[in-house]
Amino acid sequence: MEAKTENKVIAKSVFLNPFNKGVSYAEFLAAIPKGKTIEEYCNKQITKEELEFLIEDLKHLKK
Amino acid sequence: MALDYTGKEVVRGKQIAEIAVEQLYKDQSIAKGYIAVDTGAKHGVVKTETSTDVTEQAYTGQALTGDGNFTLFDYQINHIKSESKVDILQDTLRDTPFADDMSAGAANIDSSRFMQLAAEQLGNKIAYKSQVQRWVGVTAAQKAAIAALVPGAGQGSITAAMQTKVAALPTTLRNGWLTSVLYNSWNATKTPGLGSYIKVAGTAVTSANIAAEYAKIYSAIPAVERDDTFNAYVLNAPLSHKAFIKIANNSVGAAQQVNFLDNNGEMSYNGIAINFVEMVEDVVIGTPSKSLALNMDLESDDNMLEVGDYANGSDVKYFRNINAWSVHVSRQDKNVVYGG
Repeated sequence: MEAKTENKVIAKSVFLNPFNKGVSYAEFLAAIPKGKTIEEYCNKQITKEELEFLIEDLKHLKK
Repeated sequence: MALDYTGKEVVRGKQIAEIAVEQLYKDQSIAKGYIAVDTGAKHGVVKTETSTDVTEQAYTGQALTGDGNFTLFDYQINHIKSESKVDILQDTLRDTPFADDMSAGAANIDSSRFMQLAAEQLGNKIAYKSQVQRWVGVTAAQKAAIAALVPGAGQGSITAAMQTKVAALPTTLRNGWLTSVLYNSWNATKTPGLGSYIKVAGTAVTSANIAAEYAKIYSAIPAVERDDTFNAYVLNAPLSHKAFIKIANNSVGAAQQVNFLDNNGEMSYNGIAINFVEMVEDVVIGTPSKSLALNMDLESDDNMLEVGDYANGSDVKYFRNINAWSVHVSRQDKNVVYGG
């Protein structure tokens, strides 16, 4: 029996930058993979200052 | 009967001790030319904004088809008319020092000293509250509209922190410049929505970080407007920033770094004037001069106080001010909102 080779297409996870124009907090939070914190998700993607601002502003988000 | 209190009377008779009166901040924005004042409108004003674009084409010598446009649009801003009124019965002053200048006779209860004091204080307070409303006024409808905006961190969205700040503001009869910058329908399609301001991420401003934060604001000002001397750019900042700046300029211990110019109380950052106003903490609105406008019937309406008898057969007097005004913001895409 011949072994079948599967062609796997691995989806590359794309970082949704919350500072991009038009990106809402709701979209950003939904883009964070389960089990990851905001800090982990944003690691090396945004500056430390941007991360501090983001975390602080998210505290004001209406639930 | 309308009374215009512009000066003090000389008090004759007994020596009367000075009364400690409430001190109110006097906004200098109009006097300094930062705010445009449009008067003479009974109901409202019509504003026109324009924009142009044209595309250069290669010369052909033939009848070229034009490629460009000249766009104009109008919108109307109506005044909100309001009345401020206080009723006073001077009979309650008969057992106070103000009784000293009441004429003899049980029916005589007018204290000219009190009337002068009341008129001055009420007039100042009415003008002050109008001044505050012009900066941070927000109607219930505007509050709801701003709360309904979808927040985000980037340009083109409002921060959640600003939504919290707006929600905490006292509800007023009119919208002020801050909430008008944030949300309005002053566009070609008259579609209400987020204002088209330039957003600068903010934080809690202190004397330790104020220079760094103003550097961010300065960097965000469009280059053309930053260098425009005709409509000089101005940063409208909270009153607390004046103290922070003075402390920052005179740091204890470390080598002094003067980041802000302080010319006898006139402060600026890299040549951009700072105008201290009744602004929400941690929010700065940067605008070309006169892109914030105040529309009024008569500019002196702020200072007019009518004093009269409440009704026939009554000793109650009233102090009354009638005012009609609105605010407007133009050149929205040149305005910077720190903390927006």
